[in-house]
Amino acid sequence: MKEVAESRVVTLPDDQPLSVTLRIGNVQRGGSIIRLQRNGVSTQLARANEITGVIVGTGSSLRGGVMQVITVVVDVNPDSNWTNVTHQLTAGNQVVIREDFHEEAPDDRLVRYTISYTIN
Amino acid sequence: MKTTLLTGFFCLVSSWAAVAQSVAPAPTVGSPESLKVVLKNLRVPISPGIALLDKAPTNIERASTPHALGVTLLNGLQGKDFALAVAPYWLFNHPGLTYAKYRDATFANRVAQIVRDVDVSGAVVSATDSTSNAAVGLRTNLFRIARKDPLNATLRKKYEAKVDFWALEVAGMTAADPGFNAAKDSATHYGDKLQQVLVAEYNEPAFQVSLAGAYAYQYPDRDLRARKSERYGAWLTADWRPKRYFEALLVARWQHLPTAGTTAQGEAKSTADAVDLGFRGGFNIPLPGLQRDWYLSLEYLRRFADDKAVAGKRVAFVTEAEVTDGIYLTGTFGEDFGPKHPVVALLGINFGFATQSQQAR
Repeated sequence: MKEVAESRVVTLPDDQPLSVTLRIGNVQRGGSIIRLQRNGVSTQLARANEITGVIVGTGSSLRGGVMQVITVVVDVNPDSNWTNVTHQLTAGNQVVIREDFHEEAPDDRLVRYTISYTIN
Repeated sequence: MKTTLLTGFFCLVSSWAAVAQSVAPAPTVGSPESLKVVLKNLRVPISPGIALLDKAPTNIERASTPHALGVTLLNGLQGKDFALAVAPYWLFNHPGLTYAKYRDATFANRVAQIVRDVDVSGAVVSATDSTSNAAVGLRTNLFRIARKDPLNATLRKKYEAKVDFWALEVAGMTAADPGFNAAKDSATHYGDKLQQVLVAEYNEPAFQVSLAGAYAYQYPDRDLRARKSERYGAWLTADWRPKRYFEALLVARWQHLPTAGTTAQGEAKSTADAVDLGFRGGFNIPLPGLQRDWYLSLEYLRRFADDKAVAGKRVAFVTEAEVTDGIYLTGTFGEDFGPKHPVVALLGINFGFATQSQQAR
């Protein structure tokens, strides 16, 4: 299994809800878990194969924590070994982050993306 | 993850030609006589750029990433003979193409699928010590309707659920967790299974229209500018398989070839054009207890050519049965091309030494 680890810093307004959308491209399948680590405590915010517009909290409830988004992509496409996860974080109506993470799948078909967002 | 049986395909085609040529006088390479093939060989070839060559390469590299393509090209430039097939669309990352979107049966998706299915093939093969043949071709599926197979659909849904389940399990674990390796192995295993079902689904459509074109030439002394003996062609096939045991095929092929023939007026000519239009209807009859099929078909092929010796029609009854792994008993009976409508009666054994082609990663 190939591991991809990245970290980003995000600044959020206090009162706006933060929604997360994760999209797995290249005709592959997978599943994602979103966790918040704050004050030494880890809380699971979401766990699903498709995460679209899931509200994980507000700026004030997440601030000071690290939101970890873990996605495991399984290469099932007979035509391509590419895997891609698109992250979109939206605070209210404003897109805070939209980014693609991509990697070729190894022989065991598995790529794990661990993207950590430090919330300010 | 992508494997092909292209080499096996060419071995089958080549061995069929060998059987036919062992019975009939061997035609001059590149002459219109060499167009005498059975209808199934007129189907849109998997790699048209390679099919147009007289001598098929023994191995075809298939690159599925830009890096693999670079490695394959570098290796090819160092060697003498070289064949490559690549699907350009899939060389690149497509973030927006989700699994659900790909399977969507909208008109826009069907049009996009034409681009996704484009296959480019090319080859350089030594003809003699000082002469080589080079070819390049393009192929795609213009239209396809997937087979509605309840068993396949059930298996696909089952493996999709398994892949989704184990992907989530792996996402929630760390390498230190007990059961982590078992979860990874399960995700890989069901990924394999799902891919096999998807390949089977793709390879056996209920209806498909395919189009291909290719261009080949010979060049002496490894000088690519000194082209001669050019040949080019185009294929169009409509393949209908409402059930696994029945197939109807409509084919059209145009080829332009160098020749040593003569016109109807007796004048020498250096090139020939031939257009083939044909139909085949065939049945796969399961042989009880053998888990093999007996194939029976009737085919009609009309050839339009400026050389009257090869123009005309061909009507043939074709039979083929796999007697053991890779060995086929074949027979063709009917009326062949030519002004005197010669009777064809061929019986032969066809050896298909199928091996997988290499894949550069």
